[in-house]
Amino acid sequence: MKATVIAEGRGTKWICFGRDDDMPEKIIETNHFLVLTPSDAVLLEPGGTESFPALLSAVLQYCPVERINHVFVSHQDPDVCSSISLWNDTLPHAKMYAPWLWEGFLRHFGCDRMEFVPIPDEGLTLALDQCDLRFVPAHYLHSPGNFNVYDARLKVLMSGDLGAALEPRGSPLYVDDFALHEPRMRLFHQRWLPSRRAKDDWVRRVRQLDVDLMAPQHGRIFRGPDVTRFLDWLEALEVGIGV
Amino acid sequence: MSEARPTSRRGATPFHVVAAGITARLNAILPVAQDITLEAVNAKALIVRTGDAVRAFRPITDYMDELAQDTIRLVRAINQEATLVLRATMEEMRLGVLVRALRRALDAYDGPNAVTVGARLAQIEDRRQKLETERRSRRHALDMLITEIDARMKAARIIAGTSRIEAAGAGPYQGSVGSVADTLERAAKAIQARIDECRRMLRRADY
Ligand SMILES: [Fe+2]
Ligand SMILES: [Fe+2]
Repeated sequence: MKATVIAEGRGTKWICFGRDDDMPEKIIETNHFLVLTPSDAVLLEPGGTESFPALLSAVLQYCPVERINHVFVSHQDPDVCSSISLWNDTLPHAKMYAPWLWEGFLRHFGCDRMEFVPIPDEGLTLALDQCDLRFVPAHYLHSPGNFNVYDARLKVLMSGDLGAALEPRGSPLYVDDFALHEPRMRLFHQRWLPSRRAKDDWVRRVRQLDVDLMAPQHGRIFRGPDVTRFLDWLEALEVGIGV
Repeated sequence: MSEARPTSRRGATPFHVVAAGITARLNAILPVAQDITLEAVNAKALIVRTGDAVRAFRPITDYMDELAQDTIRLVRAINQEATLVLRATMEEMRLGVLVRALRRALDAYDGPNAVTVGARLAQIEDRRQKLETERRSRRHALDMLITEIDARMKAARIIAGTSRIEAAGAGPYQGSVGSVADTLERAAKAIQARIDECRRMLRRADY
């Protein structure tokens, strides 16, 4: 599994893990993130059971497990969190933040050691030693209980399934040509996002944030002007077309 | 360190499937055991009605009652043991998955940050091995309980045979006594058939 530092400064580092060459072909590729501060670490989107060994060994390159005090789960999908029973035994000291809506469901995976912190609908802020991470509501995009993670100091938005692209293995980490990239995102957003109202509301709220880097859970990371291009594109897109 | 994956024989049925099958078969035994109790009540009523004529039949009716109660108790004990073996098996399987995943992670990274994970892996492996020992001893207890219930049924069939001899001397009540013996024989056979199925399933279980 590859690890790339995508943002760094003010005592904080964002590391993106993904593009695992050993992942079976039929399993959707996922990005995972570690936000590292001098005394803390937050694992965002712990991923599926299949990714666990590769992700753990990649994370260990950056910090020991005792430093990972927080795990964030954006929503209930298996590609986001079917590994939590494994993390539960690996990080018994950690707190797991996930939408309140999914608590009763996620507990079916087995997470009795980590402390479960339900995120209320309006979101919450996790204060670390060098930065604050804001859990920003992204409900119905696609999951009815769903959050993004925003770091205002490094201007990074971890956008979960928003901005996800379905493309062949070995694709680059960053979007380099939005026009070429757009078709790879179209089906995913049209089919998975059920609500135009929720989408438009999210676009409006994200436009108010200062975002240099938008990092989705699948596919490529958007930089600078491509973030705005994505917001414009999503705003114009018709969603919920599976009927 | 022993292998984390429970050894699985070719064509073997996973234990959790077997445990569910055993529970279902044992539950089917309970009404049969209750039939024996009912028949014992009928037989006792017959003794009261007939007085001395079938008095020698009395110990048999008492035995039937005891047998039915024992069967019900054993079925419940087997069910409970099967549930405990199942629970230990599931947890052992879960820990086996975890142990394999952690080993794979440590195979890929063995730098200084691996110390805590290594210690945790050792603890988890220890827990898994304790569960394996528990599962083996519970599995043995389960086999013993099944052997016990089987022995009861064999005894019941002998008693049924004795009752028939008794029936021959029961004059006008020969038919009634014979019918009690037949019911006992049928119930014991039915229960034995279920127990044999449980045994066969356990033999096919993967561990
Ligand atoms: Fe999802
Ligand atoms: Fe996803």
